[in-house]
Amino acid sequence: MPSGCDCVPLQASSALASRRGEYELVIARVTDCVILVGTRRAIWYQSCHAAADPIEKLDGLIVRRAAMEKIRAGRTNETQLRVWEPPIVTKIAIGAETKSARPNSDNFPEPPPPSSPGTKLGFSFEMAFPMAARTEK
Amino acid sequence: MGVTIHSVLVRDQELPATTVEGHAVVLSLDAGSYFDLNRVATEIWGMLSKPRRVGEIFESLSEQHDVDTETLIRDVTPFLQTLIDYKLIRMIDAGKKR
Repeated sequence: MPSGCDCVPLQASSALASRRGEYELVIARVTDCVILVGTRRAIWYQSCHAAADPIEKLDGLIVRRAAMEKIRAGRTNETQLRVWEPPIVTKIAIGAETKSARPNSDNFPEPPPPSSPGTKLGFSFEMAFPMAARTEK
Repeated sequence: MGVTIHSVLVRDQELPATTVEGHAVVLSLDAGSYFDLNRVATEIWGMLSKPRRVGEIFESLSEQHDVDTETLIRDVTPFLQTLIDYKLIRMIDAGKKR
């Protein structure tokens, strides 16, 4: 059975051969890019995780674990157990609160009672000239 | 009749109440007074929006607060009795132990 290369048409094969140098150049550039990306990834990984030095890695783990324990402990106290205080109800009389809070308020004279309706101008006018009498013709 | 752990209590739904800075304030025109409840008292007041057994109130409070059962009984039972005396809540079942 013929191989895959044997099945390539003659014209295509010649075209590939003529542009071989160009393709090799492209392949070399792609290879450089892959190497560059790999190098950068390694630098980033070391800076973030301190994977190169096992002691640094251990320190980082300890610090992170301690921080998480504090967060977990705080969260537990805040959400589950609150400080107890005995329940208290305070009764406040409505009259006591609405009365004047001045210490010598008893010294003030009582305000005069409202005047009788007859002394009010509008009321007197209405009594003397009822509306019905004014509107009737 | 005193409050026991088996008593079933409910608050008087007719009383106007509001919450000011985490404190429930209840107005009782019959008493001619209003009543200010502190934080824990407000929690209990909220629980009593529907009929509750006193034991359930204790359980709920112990789950949410750092408090032991003896303290709960000592602090909450007289408080509930005071609310009954003020007619803010009423006992709908004395809850005799069966």
